[in-house]
Amino acid sequence: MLPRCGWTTILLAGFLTLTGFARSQAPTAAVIVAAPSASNVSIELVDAEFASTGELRTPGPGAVWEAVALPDSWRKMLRDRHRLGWYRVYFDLAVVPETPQAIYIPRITNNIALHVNGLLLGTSGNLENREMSWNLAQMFVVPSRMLKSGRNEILIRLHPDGMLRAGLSRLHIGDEIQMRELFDRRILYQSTAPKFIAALLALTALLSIALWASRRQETVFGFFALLCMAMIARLWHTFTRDSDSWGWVFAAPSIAWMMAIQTYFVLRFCGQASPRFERFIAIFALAATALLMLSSKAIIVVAVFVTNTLVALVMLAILARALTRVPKLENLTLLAAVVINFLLAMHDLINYQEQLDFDTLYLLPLGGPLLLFAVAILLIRRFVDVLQKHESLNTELASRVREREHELAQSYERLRALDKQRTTAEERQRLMRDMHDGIGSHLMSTLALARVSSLSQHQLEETLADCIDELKLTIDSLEPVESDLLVVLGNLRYRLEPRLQAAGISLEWAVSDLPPLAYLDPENVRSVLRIVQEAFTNTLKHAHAKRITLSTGVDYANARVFVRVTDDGVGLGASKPSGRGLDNMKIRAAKLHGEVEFVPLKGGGACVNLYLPLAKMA
Amino acid sequence: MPRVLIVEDDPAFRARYAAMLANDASFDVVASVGTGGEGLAMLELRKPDVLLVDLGLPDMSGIEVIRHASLTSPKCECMVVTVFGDEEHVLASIEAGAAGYLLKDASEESFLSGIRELMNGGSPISPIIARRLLKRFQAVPPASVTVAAADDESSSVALSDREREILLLASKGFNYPEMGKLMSISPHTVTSHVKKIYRKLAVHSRGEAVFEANRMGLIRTL
Repeated sequence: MLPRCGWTTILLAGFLTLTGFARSQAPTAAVIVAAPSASNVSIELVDAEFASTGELRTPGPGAVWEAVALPDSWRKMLRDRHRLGWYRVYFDLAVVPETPQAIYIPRITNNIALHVNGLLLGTSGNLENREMSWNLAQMFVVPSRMLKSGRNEILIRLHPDGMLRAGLSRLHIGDEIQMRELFDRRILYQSTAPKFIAALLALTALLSIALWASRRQETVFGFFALLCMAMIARLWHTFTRDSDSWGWVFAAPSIAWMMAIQTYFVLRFCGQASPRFERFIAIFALAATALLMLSSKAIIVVAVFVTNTLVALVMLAILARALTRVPKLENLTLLAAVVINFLLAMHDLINYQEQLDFDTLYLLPLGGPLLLFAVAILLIRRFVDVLQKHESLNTELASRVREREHELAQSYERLRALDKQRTTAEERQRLMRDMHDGIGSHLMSTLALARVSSLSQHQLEETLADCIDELKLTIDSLEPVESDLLVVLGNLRYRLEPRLQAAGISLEWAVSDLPPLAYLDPENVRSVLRIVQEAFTNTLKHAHAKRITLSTGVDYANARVFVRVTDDGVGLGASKPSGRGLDNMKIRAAKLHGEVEFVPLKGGGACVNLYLPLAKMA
Repeated sequence: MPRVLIVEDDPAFRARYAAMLANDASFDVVASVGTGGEGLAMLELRKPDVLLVDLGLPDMSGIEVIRHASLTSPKCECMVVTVFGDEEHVLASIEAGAAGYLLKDASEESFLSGIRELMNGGSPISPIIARRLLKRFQAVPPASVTVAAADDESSSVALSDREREILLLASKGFNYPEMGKLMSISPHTVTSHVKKIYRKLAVHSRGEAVFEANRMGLIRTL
């Protein structure tokens, strides 16, 4: 492909030099005399004659022809844009070329019918329904047969269109292949590229709308979609052939829309909305639209366009300030795109005002891709930024989680230490209380008795034995029994058995299995032991019993278990110990959410019932 | 006549034990010493049938003396004399090889009957200790710990069903005569079962020690 491109360039360069040369060689000749002797020579026809007949008929001999230079702009020449006009151009051929020749016309406004040597060669479009050709280059192939050596005549009937400027550009005649190349290139820029760009914009608009629909807070995308649509509206009239299309309504106002929406988009993007200017530019766009819809007079259009340019300058200043506040690549790219589009629009306005050559291309239709490119860069930067932020956030999150885990572990460790401390403290407190209330007070009373020296050997032994019993009870209560009350009672029996035997009392062990009592911690075990031990001690000391029975059982109806100690002694009346002992038993039972009852038996003897709940109540 | 060795550092208790045993013509106190070292020497020298040992000796723990005795003099019955008969001390003693225990504050009668019972092949047991033993043997699946033929008494330390039942009843507070009645065996059989259980515990813990030592590379072969 590259060599061909090279060739194209060389050919084009050659063409330019040649035409330049041709023009400088024969600038004044009304009739072209240069003869394309070789097939690859083309000539540019500049000198023509014009006759404003207003008729479809070929002008007769009586027609008035005036000499004009091509390109010929009707506005410049102050011609009536509603009257048909005729052009006549001559060119001389020394030899009739063997290859087909072609006439290439960069711009016609709006339509022509072209005759060569008196024969109709073709038209630029349907003349009946004013098919639009104002921005569509034309090429007519001229068969060699139609040409003759010497003078040849091109006769062009030009159909102007009331709503467009009218005129005819230079004509080029030459070898068909060469002309086609020029023609194709022109068509590419005039209409093919704008069509592609319109399609691209339509796609982008759809994508932007989709983006905006899923992220409503990002109005930037909504405005960009609108901008794309305004640009499509603007592009439409550059390639449409349909003169009746409603798209024409938007052709002029769309410039104002583009400007207004561009402002909204850029300022939103920079996060620097300027409500006053935005309101102003919206009002301006609406007013311009209304004005242009009411009248399509050139003066109004021009007035609107000039005002538009002034507003656009203010817009550029505001956008430039907003975009350069943070001089990031994407901001500067966007600014460049906006500025270049503005310059293209300026160029087109000047072109439209006939201040440039009539042939000159309109460039704004080609500016869309610049904006798209800038926005693509912007989106990519944003996407990358978000990804990076996300990644760094993840890392940060991970480290935060680690930190938090560490803190939790520490606080857990602290709590555990505290808990251990608390448990130890409670245990110590309990043991202290035990020693204080139990063995301590026993020893104290023994000491007190010994001091008044009224203590017999037997009393001393008994008191000390009591102390040791207390101690054993405390030690036994420390064993984790895991809710097993029978073990507790069994161990008490094991402790008491020698004393019972010594007292000649037989013990009947009539226990039955008990469900586990979950609340039996050392403290509660000790309470149970104390109560039962007290019952035994009372019997031992006061009842004169021969036989004691301990039985256990479950009273499911009342959700409790019972421990029953019965004796065959002298009964409660005589054996009733000091009130304090019984009260202590009751208090202890109440602490366990249980109950103690003393029942006298008929044949003498007594029964002590200890009831304990199956589950600890709240 | 059973020959008794007393190892007790408290002279008052030492004297009391000696006096109690002297009162009974069926016992012969061969030595009464105050330190573990002396105890070990007397063990060698006098070959006693019964060893009464206190746990808190000045030069070593009574447990050490028991372990030594059960290894060097397997015929000698070891009894530990404890203040409270608490399970920690008792179990440690049994693991070391003791066959029974006595309480320091026991009356002369129960003290002597305790020794006599032991000589007859019976051991005492408290509900809490029974419970502990149940859990201890539960933790070890029957077949997993077997002691090699080095121990000719038993090759397995798993509890038999009967032994398990005895421990269960003991943990509920039943005494030997009651257990015998409940199981339709004589009280004497019950106590001998308990003694067997104690021996199993000792073997078990010795097995564990050997296993441990083996694992650590302290001994090559059994």
